[in-house]
Amino acid sequence: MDTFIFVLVNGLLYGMLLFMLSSGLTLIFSLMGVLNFAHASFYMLGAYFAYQLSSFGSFWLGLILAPLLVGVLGAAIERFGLRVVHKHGHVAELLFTFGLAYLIEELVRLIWGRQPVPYRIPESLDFTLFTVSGIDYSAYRAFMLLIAVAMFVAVLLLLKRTRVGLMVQAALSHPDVLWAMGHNVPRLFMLVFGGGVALAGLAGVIGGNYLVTEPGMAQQMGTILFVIVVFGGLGSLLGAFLASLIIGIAQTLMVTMDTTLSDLVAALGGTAPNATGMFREIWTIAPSNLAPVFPYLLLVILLIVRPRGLLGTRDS
Amino acid sequence: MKRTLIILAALVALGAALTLPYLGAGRFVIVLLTQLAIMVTFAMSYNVNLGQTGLLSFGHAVYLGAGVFSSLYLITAIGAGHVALPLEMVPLGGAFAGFTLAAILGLVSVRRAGVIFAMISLGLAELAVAAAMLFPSVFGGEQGVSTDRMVDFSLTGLGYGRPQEIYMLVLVWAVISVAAMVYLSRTPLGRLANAVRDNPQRVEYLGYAPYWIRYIQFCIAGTFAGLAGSLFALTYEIANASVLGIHMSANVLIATYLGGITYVLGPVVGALMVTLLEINLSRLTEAWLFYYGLLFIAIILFAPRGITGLLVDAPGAFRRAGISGMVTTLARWVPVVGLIGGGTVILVELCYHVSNSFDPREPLTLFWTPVSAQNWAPWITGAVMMVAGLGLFALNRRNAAPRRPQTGDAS
Repeated sequence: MDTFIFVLVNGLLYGMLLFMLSSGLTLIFSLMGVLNFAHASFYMLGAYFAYQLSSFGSFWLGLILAPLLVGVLGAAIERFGLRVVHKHGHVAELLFTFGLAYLIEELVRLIWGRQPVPYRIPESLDFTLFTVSGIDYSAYRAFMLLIAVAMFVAVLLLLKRTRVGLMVQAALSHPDVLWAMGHNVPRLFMLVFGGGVALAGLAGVIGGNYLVTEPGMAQQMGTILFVIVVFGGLGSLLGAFLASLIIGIAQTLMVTMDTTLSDLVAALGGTAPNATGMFREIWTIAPSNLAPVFPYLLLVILLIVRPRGLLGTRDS
Repeated sequence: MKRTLIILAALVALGAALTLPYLGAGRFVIVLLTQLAIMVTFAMSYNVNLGQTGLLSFGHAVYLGAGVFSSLYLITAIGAGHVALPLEMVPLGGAFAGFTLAAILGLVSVRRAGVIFAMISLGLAELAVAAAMLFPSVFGGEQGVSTDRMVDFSLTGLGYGRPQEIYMLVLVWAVISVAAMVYLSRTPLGRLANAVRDNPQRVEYLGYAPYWIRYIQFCIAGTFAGLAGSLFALTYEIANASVLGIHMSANVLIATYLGGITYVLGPVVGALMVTLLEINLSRLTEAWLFYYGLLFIAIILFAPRGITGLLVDAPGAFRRAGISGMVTTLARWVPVVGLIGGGTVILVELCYHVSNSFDPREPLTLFWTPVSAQNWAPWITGAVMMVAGLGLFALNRRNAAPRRPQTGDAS
C-alpha cells in the first residue's frame, strides 16, 4: 500500500510536469490552430539554458532567466517565422514547426554535444524530505510539485482574472471580432506563443535535472505531449490537465507491474504454452515493457472511438 | 512544348540510368543510383498522400517497413524452396504487404484529413516501432533480419549477385511504379483526390465520399511504399526495426516537400536532391543534418512550392525582368545569401568543432583556410557577416515591396 502511494505521488509529479508542457501546447493550438511540433524542443532548450546558466551562477539564476530566454526566443520565432508561413495554411505551419524541432535538436547537438550534460539538482534542495516505509522522498520532488502547482494557479488567474486573459478567451472563439474591435490579435498570438513556450522552458528547467538533459529528450517527450493534448481534447485546458495526470500516473503504475501473460495463465490454473516460433514474446511481455507504448495505444483507440477527446468540443 | 521537354528530359535521364553501368561506372555510382531509385519510388508514394490527397503523414515508413520485412522473409522462403516465385516478382509481395497494412490502418486513419490524420499517423508509427522492438523474434531486434537474394529461381536466369544486376531490377520496378503513379494522378480518381484535398465539403455535395477517396489513395500510397520497401530488401538484404521509424518517415517527408508537393514529379526532384545532398554533404561536414534542416525551413518560408517550383518559375521570371532587372535582383540578393550563408557556415563549423571534435585545440579548415577555434577572430568574422547579411535582408525587403497594410491573422 505504501509503495502504491509512493507510485501515485510520483505519477502525480510526472503528470504535473507533463501538464506544464501540454497547457502551453493546447493554448497555442486552440488560439492559432497550430499544433506546435517544436513544443518539446523548447522544453529541451529550457533545460540546456538552465544548465548553462547554473554553470555560470546558481540554479536559481537559471530558474528565472532560462524560461524568459525561451519565451523571448519563441516570440521571435512566431513573429518572424510562423507568421510568415501562416498564409500558406495549416499544413505549412505544422511542417514549419516540424522543421523547427529538427533544427533545434541539431542545434543542441552542435552547441552542447551529443552526450548528456551534467545538469544537477541544486545542493540546497538535495536532501531527503521524509521517508515512507524505507523509501526516501527528496525535497527536490516536493519543490517541483510546488513549482508546477504555482504555475497552474498563476495561469488560471492570468486567464480568468486579467484583461489579457479575457482577450485570450475572446480570441479562442472569435478572433476576428476581437480584431475588428481594435485589439492587436497578431500581437496576442505572439504573446501566447512566447508564454506557452516559456512554460515549456520552465518545465525543462525543473525537469531537466530530475530526468536527463540530452539531445533526445525533446523527441521522447514530444509525442507523449501530442497524445495528451489529443486525449484531453484539442484546445481544452482542463482536458489537458486530466489527461496529463491520467497518463502520468498510468505510465508510472505500469512501470511497476511485471506480471506477464504466462504468469496470468499460470495463476488461473493453466499452463503457459511452450514459447517458440514467431511472436513468442507475447507470453513474456509485462506491463512494464508496455509503459512507453501505452500512450500511443490510448491515442489510436481514442481517435477511433472519440476523435474529439475527453473534453474537446470540436473535432479537429 | 513544355510537355515534350519534360518527356525528353525523362527519357534522357532514363537512358543515362540504363547505360551508366555499362559505361564503366564504378561500384559507388551503381550503389548510389540504386539508392536513388528506391528513394524516388518511396517519395513518389508519399506524395500520393501529401501532395495529391492532402494527407500529411508522419508514419509513411511503416508501410515501407511492411514491404521490407515481408520481402526479407519471402526471399528466404524462395531460397529454401518453400515458395515458387521468381526473385523478380518479390516486389509484388512487398506491395501486397504494404497494401494489406494500409488497408487495415487506413480504415481508422483517414476519417479526417489535416491535424487529426497527422496525429493518428504519428501514433501508429510510434506503435509500430514499439511493437517491432517488443518482438525480436520477428523483427530481429538490433541486429535485424537478413537474407540472401542469390536464389536459384529467377526469370532472366541472372543470379543477382552483382550490384549491376540488382540495380537493373530495382530500376525497372522503380520506373514502372513512377509511371503508374504519374498515370494515377491523371485519372478521374487522381483528380477527385485533388478535389478532396482542396475542398472536401464540395466533393461531398457532388455526391462523392471523401472518406473512400482518401482511403483508396492511402491504400495506393501504402502499396507503392511496400514496393519501395521490397526494393530496399532486395538491395541491402538486411534491415532492422529502424527502417519503419520516425526518422525514415521524416526523411521522406522532407525530401518530398523540398522537391515540391504540388508537382507530380516534384518528389523525384526532391528524392534525387536529398540523396545526393546526404552523400556529398555528409562527406564534407559533420554538421550536415543542421544544414539540411536549415534548407527545409528556408524552403517552407520562402519557396512553398519547392525546388521544382523554383525551377519552373525561373524562366518566366527571367523573361519578365530582362537583363538589367536580373542584374539588379542578383546584385541585391547574392550578397545577402552569401553573407548569411557564409556567416552561418563559419559559426556552425566553429561550434561543432568546439563541442564535438576529438581535440578542439586542433585548427580546422574553413573555406580552404586553416583557422583556430580558440581565437576570437573567426567567431567575430562569422557573427559580423551574419548581422550584416540580416541587415541587408531587412533593407532589401523594405525596398523591394511597397509597404502593405498588415493583414489580420485571425483564423
